[in-house]
Amino acid sequence: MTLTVSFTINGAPVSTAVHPETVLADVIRDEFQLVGCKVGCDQAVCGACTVLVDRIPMAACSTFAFEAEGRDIVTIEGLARPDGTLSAVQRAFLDVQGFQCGFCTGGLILLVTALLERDPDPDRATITDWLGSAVCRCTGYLAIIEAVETAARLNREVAA
Amino acid sequence: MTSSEPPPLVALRGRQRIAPFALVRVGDTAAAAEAALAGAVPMGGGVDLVDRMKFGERIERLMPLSGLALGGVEATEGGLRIGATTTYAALAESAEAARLAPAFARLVGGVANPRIRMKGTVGGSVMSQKPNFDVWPALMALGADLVFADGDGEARLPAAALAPDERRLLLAVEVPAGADARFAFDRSLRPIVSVFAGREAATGALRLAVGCAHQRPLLLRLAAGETDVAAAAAAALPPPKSDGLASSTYRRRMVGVLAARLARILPGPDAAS
Ligand SMILES: Cc1cc2nc3c(=O)[nH]c(=O)nc-3n(C[C@H](O)[C@H](O)[C@H](O)COP(=O)(O)OP(=O)(O)OC[C@H]3O[C@@H](n4cnc5c(N)ncnc54)[C@H](O)[C@@H]3O)c2cc1C
Repeated sequence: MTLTVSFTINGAPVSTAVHPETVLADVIRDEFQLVGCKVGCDQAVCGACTVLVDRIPMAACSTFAFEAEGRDIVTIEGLARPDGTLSAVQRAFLDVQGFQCGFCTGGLILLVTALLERDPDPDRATITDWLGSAVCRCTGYLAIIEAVETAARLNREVAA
Repeated sequence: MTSSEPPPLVALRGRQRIAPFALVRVGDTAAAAEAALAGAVPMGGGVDLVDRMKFGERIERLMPLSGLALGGVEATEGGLRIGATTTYAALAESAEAARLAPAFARLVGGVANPRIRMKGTVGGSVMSQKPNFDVWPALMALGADLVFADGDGEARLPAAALAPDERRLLLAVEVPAGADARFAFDRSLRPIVSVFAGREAATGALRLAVGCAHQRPLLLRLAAGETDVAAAAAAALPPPKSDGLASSTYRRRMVGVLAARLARILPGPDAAS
């Protein structure tokens, strides 16, 4: 049995045939070749596969493709402007080197994007609570926390 | 594949296969209740279900509950009613929950992480009946009711009376008014043990719900005035499991330690009203 699911991905409306048991990560990676969505633990724990679904961060490895019907999906490939200008969160991660191997970085940047959309000036406790949604085996998280605070500042500077 | 080709990288991706299933779409709660009784498996956030299916559990027919009017948090005459598809995040952020059940809302706002809290639902957490999940034992300690679809109406069940093979659709949970003021929890030893405590208003008895230590969370009741809560709780506990995390003996002792701590901070029966 297959079903057709329609949604937007990085702004583009798409329709695709999926099996009920297909997970969103497989569609994103295999159908749309958006391989910035990494599958790590495959159990909704590590956060490497995080994408934004209607601006909510979700583990694409553990979300069925049919759940995407009518929704707006953003992957890491969709964050920069078409002219290549990086988002504030992407710039902040680059500026403070909030990554090492990079496997978790796409998911983390989307997660932090969602955090700052909800809370433009999060305190440390809020930041660490949110970073509990992602596992980074390289940095020890301090550089990531700095990246979040830097992104919040960049956003404020743009707004000012 | 010839021997000169590199091995496929796919082995690094840890992909678990999910067995095929049929999707059951329903338009309203009554249809969902009927389909559930006929064997369709309800899906709230799917966090637990997807995990189980990846580990080999076969589900023939899956019924997503999204789109049904089963969410929301509202004050009722009896207390606080929380719709089954309310996410942890929606509950934690609810003004009604902050007013009527602040300790429970704080618990729910602190489990897992924001990404899980925005998808996992109260109903899914309860109905999974997993020993490590926090909502069901918390509801037991609060003396809460589970509200199921039953025929054309609703059936209420004390949280602790949930049967392992319950097939009815959970509509909501109801936290009795005032119960939250006599509720406390300790998750500091999770996933070895977790303890949720509530003081009964009328009797002063202590309700202790114990998570992580058995196949399913369970509820103990200690009479008011118990002077050695640690010993009484440990003695009343059915044999806890032993596993790679902790021995049965350790779990039993820690349930006593946490229960005694909670009993000390809970207001006594006099403060109940
Ligand atoms: C990284 C991670 C960390 C976690 N940490 C915690 C934690 O600290 N504390 C904690 O408590 N949990 C934790 N969890 C578990 C998580 O809270 C649960 O998996 C989630 O709440 C389940 O809710 P759901 O809506 O996704 O359930 P689903 O997966 O949709 O359903 C679970 C079960 O309930 C049944 N069901 C769902 N809704 C209904 C209904 N209305 N009526 C009848 N049956 C129904 C389903 O058929 C299924 O059997 C964690 C999970 C992850 C991945």
